[in-house]
Amino acid sequence: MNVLITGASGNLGRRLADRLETGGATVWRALREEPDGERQLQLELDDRQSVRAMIEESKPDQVIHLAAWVDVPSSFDDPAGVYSVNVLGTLEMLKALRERDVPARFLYLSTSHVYGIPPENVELIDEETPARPVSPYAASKLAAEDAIRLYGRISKIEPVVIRMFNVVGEGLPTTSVCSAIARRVLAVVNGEEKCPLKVGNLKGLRDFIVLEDALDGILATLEKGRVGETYNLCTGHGTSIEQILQELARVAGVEITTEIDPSLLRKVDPPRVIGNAVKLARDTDFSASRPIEEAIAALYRDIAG
Amino acid sequence: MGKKKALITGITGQDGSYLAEHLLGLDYEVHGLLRHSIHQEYPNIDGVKDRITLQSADLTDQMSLYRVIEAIEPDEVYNLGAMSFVPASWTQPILTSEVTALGATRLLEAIRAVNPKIRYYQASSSEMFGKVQAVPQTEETRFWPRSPYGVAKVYAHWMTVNYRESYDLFACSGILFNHESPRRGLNFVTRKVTDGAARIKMGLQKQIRMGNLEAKRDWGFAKDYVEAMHLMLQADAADDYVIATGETHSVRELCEVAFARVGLNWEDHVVIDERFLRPAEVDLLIGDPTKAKSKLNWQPRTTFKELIELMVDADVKRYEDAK
Repeated sequence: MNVLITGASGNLGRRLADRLETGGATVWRALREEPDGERQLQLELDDRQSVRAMIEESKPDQVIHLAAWVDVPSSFDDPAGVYSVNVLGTLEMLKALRERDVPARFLYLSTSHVYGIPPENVELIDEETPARPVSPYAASKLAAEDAIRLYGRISKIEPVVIRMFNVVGEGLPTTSVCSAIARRVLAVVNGEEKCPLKVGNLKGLRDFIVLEDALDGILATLEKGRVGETYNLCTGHGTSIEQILQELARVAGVEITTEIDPSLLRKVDPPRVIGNAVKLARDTDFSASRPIEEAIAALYRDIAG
Repeated sequence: MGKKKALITGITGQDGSYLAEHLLGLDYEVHGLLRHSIHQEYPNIDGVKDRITLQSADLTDQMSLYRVIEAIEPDEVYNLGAMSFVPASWTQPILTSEVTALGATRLLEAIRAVNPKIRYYQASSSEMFGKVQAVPQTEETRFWPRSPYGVAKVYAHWMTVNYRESYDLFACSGILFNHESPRRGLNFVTRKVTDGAARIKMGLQKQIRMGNLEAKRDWGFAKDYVEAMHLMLQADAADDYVIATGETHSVRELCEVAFARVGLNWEDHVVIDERFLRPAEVDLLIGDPTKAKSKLNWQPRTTFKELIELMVDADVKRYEDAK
């Protein structure tokens, strides 16, 4: 069983690759960095040759496609760039896989960003909720999903799409909200920042899934997700950044007070963006169950070193 | 004499919340154990949270349990707290054991240290029977658990029995078969169907996908079952009891009753999806509650039809209120 993982140097990618290898799979890791081991491939998604070579070399039975342009703000500056990486790069993978003409399970990591701003009366965003992206990044992910679903219908590729909500835990990218908040708490501990911290609106409810649950969920979907289906990977519960901040403060042993800085308020800031987790649970028996408090502690330990 | 005091672990769950309401109705002073959490919303106990006291403690932390029991000195402790999600017990077997198995021992130790007269109820489960060794299952039937959750429950059951026999604690193990209610999680098949019927009636979806319609279960109403827990601790002698209806019903019947309640024909809305079919072996879980009926004078008061109908009504109301 050859499993190809793109984005294999990322937080999720490297952990998934390790787990699958431990489970006995032959894992090919595709990443942007110089390969420094067996079965590692260098991948530039907007380089057609690079993508073709990756598929030809790894001859995958299963693909977990995590590699992407993930930065939202810069996608506004270069929308063609984000489409090139996320859509055209993915299309090149699909084209190469179709040409192999053998069944290949294709698990795509998409994002809850594709939903955009949820309609007002929606309590939990389920997979039938209309996807109305509000950034070029999110639109590119939705376009990639459609390309993948297309190839599911015209080839032996067996697509399964995951829409991941927010991950919390260790190893998060420095641009993530949780990571930024944890660094501010550390700054207070070190005396580099003083309370009250200037913040925007911290009360919005978002859906945070613990890293270990996200990994388990991805693996459960890889194994049991129904071909052609799209699944939210989330908890169904809302947590506010304020709650996360206070828990970080508790873990760090400091008291944190905050003050709203109007310049930090966002123009568009929905009060709740929480996913409905039932479809994935019904099809795979997976449900996120780990307590967020431990993930917040792990996040702090990771940042504090 | 004063009010009797009860401490309930797992008070925010389905059983814990019904038990809290039942004991409040019997004029108990009710305390509940709560793990530290950044979230403070517990919908199941919304109706009673002004009348109960929540204590911070954790089943993995011996000292926290000792401190709470020492501070309250309850007359009765009901250990309902557990990692109740069977599939999660496969990915987190160690934590499952810490909470669901060792949690019981920690509580029993705390009771023994503070006041061995405190009465203890252990929430045991038909999951312990697993690969059933007799049909129907009674208190004498051999256990054969089939998941880390089931094994943890077996451990906790035997610890309860052992402390009763070794230290003369008034400790009881209640072996409850499947018990449902409007507070049951959506992943459980009963709520999957009742919620599905409600959603279809409200025009929110068109069909539900099911597995084996002939699968049978012994389903009761959680509200009836928590009464048995209390009765066990009032008896003259401590003992273990199977709590069940003794009847089985198929998933097909579940669908028939649920959809009829909203005036729909289930066959128009139920699609068989082979993905939901479980492996061939059938675990025929049917409990025999004869001992509970004769010794505790307990019996289930809600029929299968009434149970499913009240769950459908609650789900419909939920969607109507949200409109």
